[in-house]
Amino acid sequence: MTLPNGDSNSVAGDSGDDLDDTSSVGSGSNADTSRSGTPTLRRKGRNKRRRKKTPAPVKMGYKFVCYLKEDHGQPIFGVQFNQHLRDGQPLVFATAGNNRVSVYQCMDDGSIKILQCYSDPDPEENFYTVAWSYDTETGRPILAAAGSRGVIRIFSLATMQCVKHFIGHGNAINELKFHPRDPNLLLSVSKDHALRMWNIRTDILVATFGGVEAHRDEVLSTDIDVEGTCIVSCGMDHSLKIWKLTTDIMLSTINQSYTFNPSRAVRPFPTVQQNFPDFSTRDIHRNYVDCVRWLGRFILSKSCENTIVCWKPGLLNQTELKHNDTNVTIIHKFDYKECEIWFMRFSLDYWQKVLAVGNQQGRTYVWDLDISDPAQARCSTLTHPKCVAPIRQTAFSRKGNILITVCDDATIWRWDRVAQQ
Amino acid sequence: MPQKKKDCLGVDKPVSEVQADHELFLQAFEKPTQIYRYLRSRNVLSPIFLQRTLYYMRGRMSRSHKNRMSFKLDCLLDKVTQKSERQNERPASYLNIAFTGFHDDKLEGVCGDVARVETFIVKMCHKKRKESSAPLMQVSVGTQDVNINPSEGEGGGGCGRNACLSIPTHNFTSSNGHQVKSYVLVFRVSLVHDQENAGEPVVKRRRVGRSASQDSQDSNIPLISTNAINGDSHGGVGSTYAGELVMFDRHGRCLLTPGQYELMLELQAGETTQLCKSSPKKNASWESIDTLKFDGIFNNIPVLKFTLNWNSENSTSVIERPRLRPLKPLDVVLANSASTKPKPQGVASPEAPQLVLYQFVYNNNSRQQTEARRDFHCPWCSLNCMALYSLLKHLKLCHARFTFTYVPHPKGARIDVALNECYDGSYAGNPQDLVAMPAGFAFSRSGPTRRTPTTSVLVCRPKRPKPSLSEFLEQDDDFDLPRSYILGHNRLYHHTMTCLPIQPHELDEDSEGEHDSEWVRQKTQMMIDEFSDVNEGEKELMKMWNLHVMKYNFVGDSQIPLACSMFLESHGTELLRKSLYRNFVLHMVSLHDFGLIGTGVVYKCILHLQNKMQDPSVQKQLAASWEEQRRSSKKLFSSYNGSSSSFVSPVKQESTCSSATSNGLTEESKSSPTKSNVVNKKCCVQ
Repeated sequence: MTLPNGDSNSVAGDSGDDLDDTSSVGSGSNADTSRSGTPTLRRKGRNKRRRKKTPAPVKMGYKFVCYLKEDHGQPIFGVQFNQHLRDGQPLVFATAGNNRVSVYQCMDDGSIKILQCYSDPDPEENFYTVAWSYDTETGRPILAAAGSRGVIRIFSLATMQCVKHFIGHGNAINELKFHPRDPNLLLSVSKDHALRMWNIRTDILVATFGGVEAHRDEVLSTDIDVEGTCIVSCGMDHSLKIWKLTTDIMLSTINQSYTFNPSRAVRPFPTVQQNFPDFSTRDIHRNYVDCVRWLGRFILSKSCENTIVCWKPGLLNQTELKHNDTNVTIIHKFDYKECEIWFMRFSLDYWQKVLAVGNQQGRTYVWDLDISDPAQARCSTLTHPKCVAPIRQTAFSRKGNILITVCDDATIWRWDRVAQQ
Repeated sequence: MPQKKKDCLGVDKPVSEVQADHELFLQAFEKPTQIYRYLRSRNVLSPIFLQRTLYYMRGRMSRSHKNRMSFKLDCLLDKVTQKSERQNERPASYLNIAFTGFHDDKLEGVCGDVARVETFIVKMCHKKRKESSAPLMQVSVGTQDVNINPSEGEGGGGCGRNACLSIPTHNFTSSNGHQVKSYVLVFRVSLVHDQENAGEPVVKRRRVGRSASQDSQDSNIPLISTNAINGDSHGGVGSTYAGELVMFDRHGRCLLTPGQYELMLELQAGETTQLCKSSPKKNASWESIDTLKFDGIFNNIPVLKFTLNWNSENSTSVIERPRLRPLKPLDVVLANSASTKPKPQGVASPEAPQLVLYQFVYNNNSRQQTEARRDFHCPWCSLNCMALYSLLKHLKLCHARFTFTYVPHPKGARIDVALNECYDGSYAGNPQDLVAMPAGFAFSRSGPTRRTPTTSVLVCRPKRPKPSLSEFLEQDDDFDLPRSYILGHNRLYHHTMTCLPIQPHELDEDSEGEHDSEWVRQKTQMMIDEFSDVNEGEKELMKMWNLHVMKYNFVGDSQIPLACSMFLESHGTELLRKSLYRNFVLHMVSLHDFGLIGTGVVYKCILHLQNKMQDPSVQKQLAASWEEQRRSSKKLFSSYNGSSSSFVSPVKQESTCSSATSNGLTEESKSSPTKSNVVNKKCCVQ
């Protein structure tokens, strides 16, 4: 195990655990010091702190708890916690890999229990992504999954059935996201260069985001901001695009999608064909952009360049999006190592205080974002001798106390946060 | 079954050859058979359709819809009131029971003696949730004396008037207390003399005996049930026998049809009478007619004989004891049900079951095995198809992995079964089923569902041909199939823009072939906006003109004059409002320069536009913009070297100036393009 800066604080060692190798390594600076913004200052500060009390408190300590392997042996591409379950309710997450969608529960004793598993009748199906929502009438959980066949499947976990499916995408679906305000609106991004927004309650395609000014290659990832006003999408064309959801046509179409009665209507539903994003940039990354998340008004995005970039469209003080704006402001870069393959997703916890990404060697990098200056974000590395396959996606529980990572060798890893010192 | 093969190739063949042949047989038929076995059990557990609703399975449909023919909505209320009345009124106002005798072989010696019969009505109430047992109410309705073992020849069995019991039917009305489930008549016979019962039969049986009455209906066979237990009697005052008779079944139908009854009694263990000890369903067993010997049974068991009828008057007269007729064998003896259900119709096949030979042909038609069946059950589903036609239709439609050919056979029918080489597993039904949500009826796993609605255009509606076995005979290749009466293809179409499947009701709507979709218009405007060497007024005009041309899709030079006049018609006023007069004139001149329009057209168009200027509202607007531009141009010219931001103004100003002066407009406007161009260039250079 190589430590980023030569100095480290092994939490496992501190807590006197037997798990020597399965430790999380905290380091004050980013993994790659050459690219980190202010190395000198921070190192000084940390040294001071270290002198004061040893060992230095490692805020973001995650400890390996258990791992399990799905029997298909194929890569698991997606993992998501059900963030709609609150404190006191079970910690449930779902994984997508091969033609399976599996639902697990994190037990209090540190184990992982499988609850349900759905298998697509087509053995060729390869699920890439899952997303959680709930039935607005019954409050029961809903799980959406999609993958290489381009079919979105909606599972009702209470009845243990695939209750709905949506076809329409011309190719594989790379990511699914539910609208944060309206649990019936599902956003899907596809290899067919387009995004689609579905109303899963009324089975209506609300909008497609694609066409002349949209992505020119596979769309790989998307996110909707917490207020549900903007979509950001990214893809293989190296570009990131922002689409407003607050335009009159979008708002009225979303409303109409609830009242539209397809059996009475003569014409098909007037799906919005959005060809023009409200902002577009190719200046952030020089390769496939395979993951993007909103962080307040900022955007976190990554490419296969060993860095997660925190940036915002326009100038730093600019609040409005401009269509032909060529300005972007880069706030910070979170650097890490050995992650040059694409389709590697990072994740934030529900309160957006922790950021985690895995690399192709099976290491997980965790940053604590609960700081005033992004330059202070401290990185810790989670390693396990058996975890050597590329980590496709990570997921935090709602409180951020459990981190699940999924790998190419069908393994699922559970890391629990160790008590803050 | 295919596996249970009957080798018809001969027994002399060596074992290995037989085995090899069996292998070939399995190779051909094993897999489809396994699939159909699986489907069979799935259909049993959760059917996706009901066999009886298929038109060729009429034999399995037990319901007839005869009532529907005469049904009228207005009669609905009448029917309900009639029904409730019928429930209230009993066959008559009195239930008369005339006891004719108490028979017990053990009591030979006491012939001529008298037994006392006490009759009770027991009301069985509905069990409430918290009660452990159903509440019972017992009411005594009378005590009679009955002769013991009266001889057949005797006239009156009972002792005078006492042998008759009349129960007013208001005792049985269910209108008052709906919670009463049923009424049971309980007879308790007590003997004055003590009697040893060593020889009591141990058989614990129930019988559905049909009374020898003339009018008992099939559906209302009276039940006579007793428990004969081997009880040791107390050496007390008297032995007590008890028997019970259920009056109404669970649907409230009266089970006691008028007639003569022989009720088997049971020796009570003591004075404490247990009523309605067990439900008839317990201890029930099937018995065949052969083992039933009525004479013996009725001889060994104490029997209370009486005549029961419903009458309007209280009968107290002595009834003549009937003579028993020889018992006829029962056609159905049901030992475990309180009331026999009506026999389902159509159980018997319309055609007499005959030999059905299945001939399995395999290995390129070179080998065959035969299996015979004597009924019309499907070998894969074990579904009783009732008739040969239904069977063949079922095989053909539900087991498409095989081909079935019907060959008439002297002993019945022969069906040649072979593997269907053309079977590809694709779904041949309504393609909407594949995309419908919730999953269409072909793919529903939660029981039968509604069909996915579809709309088709019927081009003809031939009558469905009469069911005939000839359709299963081997067909020639040139056999012409019945003409499809649905126009078009059995295909699923998709919307061009959204790729969503087109719903049947959307098929007529064709709006997607338009060439000026919204995004093209938007993109055109954005591209025009991006020009850097064109002023804003020109951009505006170019947008209007281009969108106009795109909308009407003018394709030839000869259409340009038309395009111009249409443009003025639709955009003329807007043009003037935006102060684009001179830009339009310039455009006309350019068109003329390129030889697309003649001078006449230019003249006419400009005249047209000037006519539009006469509109007072337009004039007002023009004047206002002229004022504004004059002010801004003053500013502009005063600080000419200053801001380049308002470089548009000069053109607009000039154009409005010219438009404001109505005289000599043509010449001025004709000369204006050069001017405006000059100004433009100036601005652009800046």
